[in-house]
Amino acid sequence: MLWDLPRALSSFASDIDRHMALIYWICGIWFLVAEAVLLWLAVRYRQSAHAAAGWLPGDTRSTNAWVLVPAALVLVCDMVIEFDSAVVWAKVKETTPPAELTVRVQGRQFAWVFTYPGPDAKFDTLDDITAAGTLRVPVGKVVKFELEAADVLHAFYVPELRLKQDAVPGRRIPGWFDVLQPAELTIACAELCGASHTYMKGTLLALPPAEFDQWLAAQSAPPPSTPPTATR
Amino acid sequence: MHDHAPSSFLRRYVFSTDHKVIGLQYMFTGLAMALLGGFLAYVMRSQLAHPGTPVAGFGTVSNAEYNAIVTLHGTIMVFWVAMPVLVAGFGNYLIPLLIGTDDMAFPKLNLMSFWTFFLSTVVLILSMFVPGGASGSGWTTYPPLSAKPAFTGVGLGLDLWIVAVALEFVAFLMGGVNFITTAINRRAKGMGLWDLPLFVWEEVIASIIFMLSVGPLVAGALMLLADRNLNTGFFDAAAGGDPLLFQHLFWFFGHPEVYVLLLPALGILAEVLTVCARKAIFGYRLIVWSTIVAGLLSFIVWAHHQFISGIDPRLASPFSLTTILISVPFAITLFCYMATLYQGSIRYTVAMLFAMAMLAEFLLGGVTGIINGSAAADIYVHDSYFVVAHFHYTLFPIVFLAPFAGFYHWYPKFFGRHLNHGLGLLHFYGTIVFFNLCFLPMFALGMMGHQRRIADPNAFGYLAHGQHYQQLATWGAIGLLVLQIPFIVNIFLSLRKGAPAEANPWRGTTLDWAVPSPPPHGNFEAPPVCYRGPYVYGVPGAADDFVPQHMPPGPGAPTARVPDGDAAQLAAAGSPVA
Amino acid sequence: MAVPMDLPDRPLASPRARFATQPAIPAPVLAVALLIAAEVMLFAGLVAALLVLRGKAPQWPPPGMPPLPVAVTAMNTLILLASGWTATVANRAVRQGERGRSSQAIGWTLALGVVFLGVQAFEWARLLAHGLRADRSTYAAVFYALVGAHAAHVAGALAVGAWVGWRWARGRLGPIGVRAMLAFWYFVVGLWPLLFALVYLW
Repeated sequence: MLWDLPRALSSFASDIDRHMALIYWICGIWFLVAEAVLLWLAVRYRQSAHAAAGWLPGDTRSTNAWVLVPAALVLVCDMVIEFDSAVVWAKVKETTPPAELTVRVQGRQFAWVFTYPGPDAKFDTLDDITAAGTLRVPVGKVVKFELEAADVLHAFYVPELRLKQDAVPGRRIPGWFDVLQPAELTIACAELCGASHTYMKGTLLALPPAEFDQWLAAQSAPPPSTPPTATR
Repeated sequence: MHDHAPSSFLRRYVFSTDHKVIGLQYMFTGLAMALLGGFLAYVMRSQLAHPGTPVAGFGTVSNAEYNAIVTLHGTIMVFWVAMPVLVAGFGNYLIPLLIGTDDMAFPKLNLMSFWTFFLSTVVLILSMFVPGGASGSGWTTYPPLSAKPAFTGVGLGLDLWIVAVALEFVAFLMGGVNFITTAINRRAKGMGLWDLPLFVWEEVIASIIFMLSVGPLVAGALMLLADRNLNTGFFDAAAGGDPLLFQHLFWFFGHPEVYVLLLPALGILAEVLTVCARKAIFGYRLIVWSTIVAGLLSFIVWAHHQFISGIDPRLASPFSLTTILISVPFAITLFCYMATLYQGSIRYTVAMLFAMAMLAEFLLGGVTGIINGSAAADIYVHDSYFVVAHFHYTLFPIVFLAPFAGFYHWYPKFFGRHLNHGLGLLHFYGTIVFFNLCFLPMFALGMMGHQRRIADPNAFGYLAHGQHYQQLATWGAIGLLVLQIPFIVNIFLSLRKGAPAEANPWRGTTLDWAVPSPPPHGNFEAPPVCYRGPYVYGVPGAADDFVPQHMPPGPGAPTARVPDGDAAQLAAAGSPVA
Repeated sequence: MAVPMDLPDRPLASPRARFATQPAIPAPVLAVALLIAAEVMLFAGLVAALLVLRGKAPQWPPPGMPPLPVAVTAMNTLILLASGWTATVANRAVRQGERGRSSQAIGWTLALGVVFLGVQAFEWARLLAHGLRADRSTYAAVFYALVGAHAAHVAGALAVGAWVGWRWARGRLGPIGVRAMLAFWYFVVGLWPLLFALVYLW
């Protein structure tokens, strides 16, 4: 169960894991208690142990309390879970910390395409850098993404980052993540997108910042040598 | 009464207007479709356990075929098994018997309902064999994937899929109108709303939920058909449409639909638990009111399927709240069922075993729902195998365990003979063991990050160490399917060889047990009169440990309306044992 | 949708009648009321689509779309409302057991319904000729979806109404069936002004 989770590599992954653990504990205890009570009732009141049933329609206020009090406890637990959920949700999805880098992520049948704004820090200009299949980001830096879909629904999914967001044609959905240590992770598509949905994969390379900057600079630098025919 | 029973075979068993024949037709069509859905599950599971290896009885599963199998398995199990068996099958057979009337309010409409449903079944099966293949867009058929044949290569197959689903909705609309009208207008003399057996309440509330939620999806389906065939752009962002519009219309229906299935299952459970525990249902009115509240809440939870679908993130927490709140009315209902067992004297018939198992297994489905319902946790578990495990832990008990309980319970009523007990036990233990073997590992797979609807888990490094879970689940699925053989053998064997059943073999109080087994055409020799609530078991001062609803008050049958009084009052008012 | 409406009017001697209780609302009327509730939700879905698509569009109606025939349709609305009035007359006559007068009023109701549909068809043909095609904009698509869904309901109500009215006039059907049919007609009439306002005026 919880121990099956992959490594937690983003700064909100541990929040989500902690929230899930909270639910596991609360619901797990409820579940075990309920099953235990059910088992006890099943055994204790079998015909051979209890030949004559009692009359107990549970239609008075005092007997209704038997179920209403536990139900009120359920409500209290619900509220605890919901409050924690709202806090974590707000951190992951409703707010974006100041970002060092913005990337456009586009899902298409059946690949991921990544666009960096280039030296002018603006998208849709000539110096945009486009990379297909591999998304390189600096370790420890907040990366803002703008998620797009070219054709059908996709979902941008990196298990180790606890990151999942649907991509919808016609919308540019903002979000963010960070990667806490150098890693090479699989980007998967988590929304059925056609025959080769399974194989719609990409790679997320979290590089040390210096290495990342070097790579990015190399992408936007002019071609290393001009062809000899250019000199006249 | 027998004079107007139709005499020709065709009118009597095929195009019958008798609610009992129609109920059984629905049930057995559902059973046949369950075998098809089960076979698809077997192919799917085999492919996942050994990706790429040819599956015995099917062959190599291509990616497109895998998507089609996923789609059809879900569609069939929800719309062609759960709906016909739980809602239409048991509802048709039992509602008129339980309320003490001869048939539905509109028998001809009932006949039309079944044959419209049958036509929808034919269309769905046809959709698998047309050029381009069957729909591979998932049972949710999200556009744009479903909106243009170019995205999947599926042409007519998906159009037929939509037509089949729409026809099925029409069939169940007719059924729903019939159920509600019948329950309101045709109750036996003396039977007030609070004297209705819970099964009737649950079917009626389920029908109301269905009728009020299905309209938007029909609108969505029509727009989707138009997008596919008339080149409109309702869901095409490039043409000014909105893909998320369909998701809203779908889930506005889709989530209430879960309760449309759950409520009849809870209704069956109420009848089986009370008869077999010899106990009045605990908190009858509490259960009814909780169900009504849950029904209302079910209309404002739909977006919890869409937390990360691109809707405004500020919408998530309100929908998360309503979703988690809906656990309260259902908790009340389940607690009431458990309290019903308290001080009971439980007879472990096969039906009762299935009913208890349904409670036990459904609990796990219920508590894991909280993880999906929490917006924050959903970021990780959305569209993962955790969801798959969760909804199988809710839906398998609803769609199979509860109907099994009902089927074993009412089989003597249906056919006048008992099912074989030994085969029943084999079926029960086999089903429970293999069901858990199949679906427990999926929780772990989900936690590993296994996303839904992928044909080949080997494609993902993070799933490599989960492959043995995958294989375990597959063995579970195969075992689960094989252990249905004793059930099917039992059904047909017992038709001829089963021990004859009398009218009231389980000593139940409700009116279904007041008629012969099987009930004749027209059900009741004379219109019954109802004198008391449905679950009068173990009342002090009664002659027997149960007092049927139709037994006139008198010595040994205390006071007319029992559920309203408390025990002391009853003991005072009741006559001494006759 | 055809709902068999013959039931409660069967002679009391039939075996079924022994089971009939005295319901507050006759079964066919109740059934039609439930059907209407489901239909309201269908139209709610379509109206939701209108709101969403309109909300997304930068301009509504989009440029290049012909204007809708507001004046003609307003007249047509009055025609349909008039059929609601004749339906009321029919309903009253049915309750008073005046078969002849009520059959006449039903006839007028259906005739007005046919006129309404005829005008709609004529206007649709003109709109299509002017380029209001469903595949050209979501504006046109949602127009045809809403107005078309209503027209389909009018057509269905006319077919059932003709069948029920004919059987009633011939004395083969009791009053409850007619009242159920008229209840559905009220729905079709009552829905239209709302759609007219949403689609044509807003």
